Amino acid sequence: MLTFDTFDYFLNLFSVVVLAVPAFYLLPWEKARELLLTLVGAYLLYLIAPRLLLFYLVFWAVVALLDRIVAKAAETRLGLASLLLSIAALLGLLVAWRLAEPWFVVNFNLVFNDMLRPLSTRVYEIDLSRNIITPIGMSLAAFRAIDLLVTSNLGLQRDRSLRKTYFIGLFPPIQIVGPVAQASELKIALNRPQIDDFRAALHGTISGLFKVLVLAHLTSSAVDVLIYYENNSVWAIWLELFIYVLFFYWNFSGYSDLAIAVSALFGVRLRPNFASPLTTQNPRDFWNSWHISLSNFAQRNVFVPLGGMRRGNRQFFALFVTMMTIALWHDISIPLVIFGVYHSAGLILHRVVAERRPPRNGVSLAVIKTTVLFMFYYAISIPLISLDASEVLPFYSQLFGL
Amino acid sequence: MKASLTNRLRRVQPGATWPSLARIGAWAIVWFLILGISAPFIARVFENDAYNNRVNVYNTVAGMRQNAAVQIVSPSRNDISGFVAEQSRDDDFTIAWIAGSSIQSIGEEFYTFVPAEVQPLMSEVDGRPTTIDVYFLSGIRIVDIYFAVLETLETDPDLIVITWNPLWVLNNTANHDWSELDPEIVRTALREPSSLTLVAGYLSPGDIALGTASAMSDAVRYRSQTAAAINRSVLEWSPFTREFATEPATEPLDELDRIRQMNIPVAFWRTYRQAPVQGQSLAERQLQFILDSTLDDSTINADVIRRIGQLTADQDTPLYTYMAPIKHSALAEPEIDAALAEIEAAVASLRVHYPEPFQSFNTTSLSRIVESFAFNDIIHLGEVGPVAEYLAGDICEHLASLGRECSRPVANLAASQDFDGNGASDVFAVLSDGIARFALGAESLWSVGVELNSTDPAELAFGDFNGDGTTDLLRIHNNTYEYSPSATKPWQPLQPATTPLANTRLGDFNGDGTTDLLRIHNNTYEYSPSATKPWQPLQPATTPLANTRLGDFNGDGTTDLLELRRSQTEPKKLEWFLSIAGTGDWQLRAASTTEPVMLLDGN
Repeated sequence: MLTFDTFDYFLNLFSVVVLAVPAFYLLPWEKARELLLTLVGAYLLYLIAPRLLLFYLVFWAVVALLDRIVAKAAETRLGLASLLLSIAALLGLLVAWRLAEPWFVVNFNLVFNDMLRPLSTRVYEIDLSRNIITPIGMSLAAFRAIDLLVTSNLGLQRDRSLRKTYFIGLFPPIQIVGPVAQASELKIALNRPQIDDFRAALHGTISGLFKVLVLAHLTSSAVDVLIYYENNSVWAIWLELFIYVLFFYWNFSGYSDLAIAVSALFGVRLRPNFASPLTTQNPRDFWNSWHISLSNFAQRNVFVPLGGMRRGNRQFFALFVTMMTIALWHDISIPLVIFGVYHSAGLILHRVVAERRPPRNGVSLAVIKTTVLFMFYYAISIPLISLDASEVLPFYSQLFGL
Repeated sequence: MKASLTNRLRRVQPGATWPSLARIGAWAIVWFLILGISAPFIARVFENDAYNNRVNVYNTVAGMRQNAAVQIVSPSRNDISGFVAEQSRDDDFTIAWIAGSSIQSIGEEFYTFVPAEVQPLMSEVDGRPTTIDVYFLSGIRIVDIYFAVLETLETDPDLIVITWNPLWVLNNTANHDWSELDPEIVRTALREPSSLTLVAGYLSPGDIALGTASAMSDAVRYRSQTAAAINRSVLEWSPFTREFATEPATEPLDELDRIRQMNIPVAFWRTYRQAPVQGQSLAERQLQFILDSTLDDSTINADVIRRIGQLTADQDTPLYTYMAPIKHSALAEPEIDAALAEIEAAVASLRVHYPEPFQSFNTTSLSRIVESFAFNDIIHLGEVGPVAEYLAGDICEHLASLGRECSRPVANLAASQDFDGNGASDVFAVLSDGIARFALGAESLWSVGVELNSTDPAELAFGDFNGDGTTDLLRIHNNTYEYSPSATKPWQPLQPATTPLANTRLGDFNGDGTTDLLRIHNNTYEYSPSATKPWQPLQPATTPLANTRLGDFNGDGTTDLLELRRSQTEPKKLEWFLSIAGTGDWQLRAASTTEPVMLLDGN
């Protein structure tokens, strides 16, 4: 229970796409094409569990309502207040999940299963047979919804109908594993299929499948390093840790590649979510190439508004809050607070050093920088995303032979 | 030369240059190293669980046999490769038996399945040997049963048997569980138009894609095993074998962990929706499922029961269904009795969908029919014999109503002995399957004992060879006397057998409380104490063994010999000679002038 197989989701997605792509290009109207993709997204959620589909139908309906309120209030003095209240409502849901996870998960399943009963006994019974789940994809959905609200507050013109909101929310490739795409990125093809889109889709699919099925699969057991570290030598833990980081990257970026590839089949050209982050030579480049869509979200909605582009201590404050946002997006926990502080410190230190001393170039220096950063900066921090608070000290004590 | 090669490379792949090839080569080496490092660690042999390890196992009492006529054709949990049933053989009478764990029986010394015990009791139908394919899915739910029926129909069985579990049968929180089988049942499910609504509800496009690919490629169907094989191969040649200790965590579980450990969804709904009572035992939780059953004709479960009736009727496939028993002591509770009765009545109301004479739709719990047998909990059997005996009889009766003749084994050796040591005699029989069986106290149905190598009564003897107060079996096997304590435990060798059992007698000649063997050798009575020690001489023998009677004629606790001889002086006169414990001198005890014909053998 509480297991969700991302591969199953993509297997279903690719299977549906075989029919959905021809149907999509046969439909002459944009709205019909969007509706088709919305239905595909809804069906894929239904396959996970009907209660998850019902949850997202309610969620995005509420977002559509908030979106209209924020857009209307944008011209008034209540504009900022309505935006902040709406964001607080969405984040409140996330915070409730993260801080009271057992309670939230239990009631999420019970309530939405109960809600199905009056709608359809048959669907209710099918839902009973589905796995117990967490609100899969809610972190992504909340941030994408916040993006919508912010653009409405800025007064940007956009279709705010429920139909359009459902299309944005249920866009099939990205609703479970991301990327955290902006609504403006979801521009579907309006004409005949383009060869470039299909070439990009093929490239992304091959790349994604290779990462997920070969590289991540072969290294997946390294996850054990977070569970069974106690009875192993320092050397063995370090070795497993490096492999675990590679697994983490291949798995995550592989699914991102697949999501981007499927999007391209419908003419939606999403920006890459990863750009060889483990070969970067400084913390700033790392965060510009790791989970780029999330970093961009944080940059748009946190870093810039807080004055990150200014000089002085203001930029450091903005940097700190941005990193904490990224960290706590994963989970609200002590290890993620440490993760946020750690990477804030790294970025601030790099910025201070870079301002005082211009970077030196050279192949051998680049190799050394990359290796050192990978081994002693990125790799060390990745376990914090998954460790419980009580495991942080034992794990790192063991890692450093203390 | 170099330039021409580069040009050729460019024709193959625009942009291919020596540096780019070097880069690819470098990456290939890097990946090779990474694979070498990682592969040994992830090499996990596909785990076959306990069920498939017991395929064919008839009874795992040490020394007992496997029943090759019964095979479990379903996968272990987490095996994604589907059922392994093959087309039924024309020269066999094939039964497809679909059931969950309620056909299991697990004890300290045995692990068996009801079908494996039923098969020997109906070993032939219409002169064809009976074989049973068991579609065993632990925790099977109604929708699983439906898809399993579709699978069985593909193999054209002579009879389908379905075991309804009363805990699930009308409980709508429990309608489907074996989702890992979904891709493999796609092929049969899509061929049956009436199943499409269930397909839409339970199967996904991914299942259809995988199912189709599985049909085309064994490598896909057995991908778990394939992956494990690849991993093992990599492990063999990898220079980077590394070890990482993986002891299980001993930390207490939090609530989310407890939810994660619930292996079926219904466990979650039961725990959180029904306001569980803390400290409920497994049996109490099982009973709660009966109390929770939804007696609603519109549920998926009721719908699926209807569909199964229609499906088997359309295919003209004989069907026999029965309701698994629940523990008798639970049934004695009025609340449970009433709830079960409601379930039985609700299921029985669906009988209208089983209208054909070849559909035997039994909805009365076996507990109401067969009394007094052991359970491990409420639903899992601790003893199979009585249930198997009843089912074999009832299934044969159903087949007889269809004009089919079922060969029921006949007891060809019966004896009254005290096999359980309670002082009361038990009936003993050997049926045609060669398995010792008992009716304890001459009341219950047959319980299964040790396996014999013959059904010939002359090749068996009864006695207490170990002095434990219960009757043991004695036989000759591989020229060795062997005995089975209480006729239920494995055979144990005693000593080399030089005399057939037909030429021996049993008695306690040394008064030690154990049974000794007696024979005539070189015109002398010899006995082997406890059938374990070397033969020791007794008195000389003057008549064939057939004319010797054994008994405690002086009441001293030892067995005496009584010879019936013709008088040396008056041939028509018969004389009785007694030797106390076979060691005392022969003493004339009585004489007669009339010849009791039946007592004499030979001259």
